[in-house]
Amino acid sequence: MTAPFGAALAEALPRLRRYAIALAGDVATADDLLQDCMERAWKNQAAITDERALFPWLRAILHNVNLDRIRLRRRRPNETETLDAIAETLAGSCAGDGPALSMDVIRAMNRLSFEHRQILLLVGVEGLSYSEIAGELGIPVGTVMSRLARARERLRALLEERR
Amino acid sequence: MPQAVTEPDLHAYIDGELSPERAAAVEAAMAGDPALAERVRDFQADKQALVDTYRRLADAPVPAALLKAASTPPPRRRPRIIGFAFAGTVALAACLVLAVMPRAPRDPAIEQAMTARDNARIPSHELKGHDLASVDAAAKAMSDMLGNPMRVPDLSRAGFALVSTDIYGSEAVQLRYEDDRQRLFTVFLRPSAGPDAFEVTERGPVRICVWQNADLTAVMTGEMSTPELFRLASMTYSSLGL
Repeated sequence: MTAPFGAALAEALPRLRRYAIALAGDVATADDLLQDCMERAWKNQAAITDERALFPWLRAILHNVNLDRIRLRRRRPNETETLDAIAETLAGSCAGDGPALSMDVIRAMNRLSFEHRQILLLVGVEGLSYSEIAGELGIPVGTVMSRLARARERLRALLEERR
Repeated sequence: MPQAVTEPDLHAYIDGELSPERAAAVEAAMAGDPALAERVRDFQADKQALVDTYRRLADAPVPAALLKAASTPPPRRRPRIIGFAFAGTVALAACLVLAVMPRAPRDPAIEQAMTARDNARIPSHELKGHDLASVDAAAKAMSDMLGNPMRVPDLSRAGFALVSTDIYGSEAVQLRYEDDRQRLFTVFLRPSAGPDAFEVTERGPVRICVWQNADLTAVMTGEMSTPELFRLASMTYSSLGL
C-alpha cells in the first residue's frame, strides 16, 4: 500500500457507507456495521498488500459483519425511523425533488430479502460484472443471473404497487 | 434454430453481459414484441433509479466517529487483571504525576501549520510561483530539512497549482497551492514530531489532515469537504518521494 492504511480506509469510507446503508436499510445500523468493519480491518491489515484489492476486501468484511448481526438477530429499527433517517441523509446531500423520488426506491429495496438487495446493489450501484460477483459471493455465474432476474422482478412489482 | 430469449438473458442484455450474437437475438425479440421491449425499458429505468438514489448517499457527510474509526487504529482493550483498590492507587499516582509534569501543547504541528497558513509567522525565505527554478529550490529546501531527497507534489490533476513556498529556516517548509477559484490548500512539512499517526480535524471552516511517519510530519489544510481533502492529501503524500 502506498498510502498509509488509515488514510486509505478513510478515503474508502464514503463509498463503503453508501453500500452499507443500502444493504442494511437504515443509517444507524449501517454506521454500527461500519464501526465493526473498521475495527476488523485494522486488526487484519496485514492481510491487504495491494491497494486495488482494498475495497472488495472491505466489502467482504462488511458482508461478514452483517451476517453476524443477522445471526445475533439484533433489533432492526421500525420502517418509519429507518426511512426518516435515510430521508434526512438524502435531503442533506441534494436539492430539489430527488429525495422524494428516491424514497419509493428505498422503501421497495427495504422490503426485499437480503440476497436480492445485495445482488441488485452489486450489479447496479457497485457496477461489478457477473463474474466478479460470482467470485465475491462464491456462487456460480448462472446463480448470479437467476438471482438477479428474480430480484429485479420483485423490485419491479414493489415499485408498481406504489404507482 | 435460434435459442429462445430467457429472463436471465434480458437482464444480462441490460447489464452488457451478453455476447454480440445473443444481444442481437434479444434486440430482435424486442423488435417483434413491444410488451417485451417495454419490460426491458422498465428494468433499465429501475436500475438507473437505484444508481441515482444511492449515489446521493455517497456524497452525504460521514459522521466524525466513523472517520476516526477508519483513520486511527482501535485502542487496545486492557485486560481486567487488577483489583479496584490497586487501580485506584495507580490512577491517583498518575494524576499526581500529570499535575507536576509540564504539559506539551496539544498538536504543536497543527498550530504551527495554521500559523503559517494565516501568514502569522514571517518565513526566512519565500519563493513565488511554480516555475522550474522555484520548484527546484523548494524541493532542495525540503530535502535539506529532512535529509532525504524530496519532491514538490504536482497537484495539477486536482486543479491546484503551486503559488508560493515559505521556508522557515531548517525547521519547516510550507507549500501553498491554489485552484482557479482561489481556494487555498497548504502543505506544511517538518521533521517528524512523533510516531506514525493519521488525524483529521478542523479549525472553523478549515479541514486539516495530519500524516506523520518516523521522518516527517505533514499537515495539509484547506477549506473544502473531507473527501476532497483526502484526495488532495493522498496525492500529496504519495508524490513527496518518501
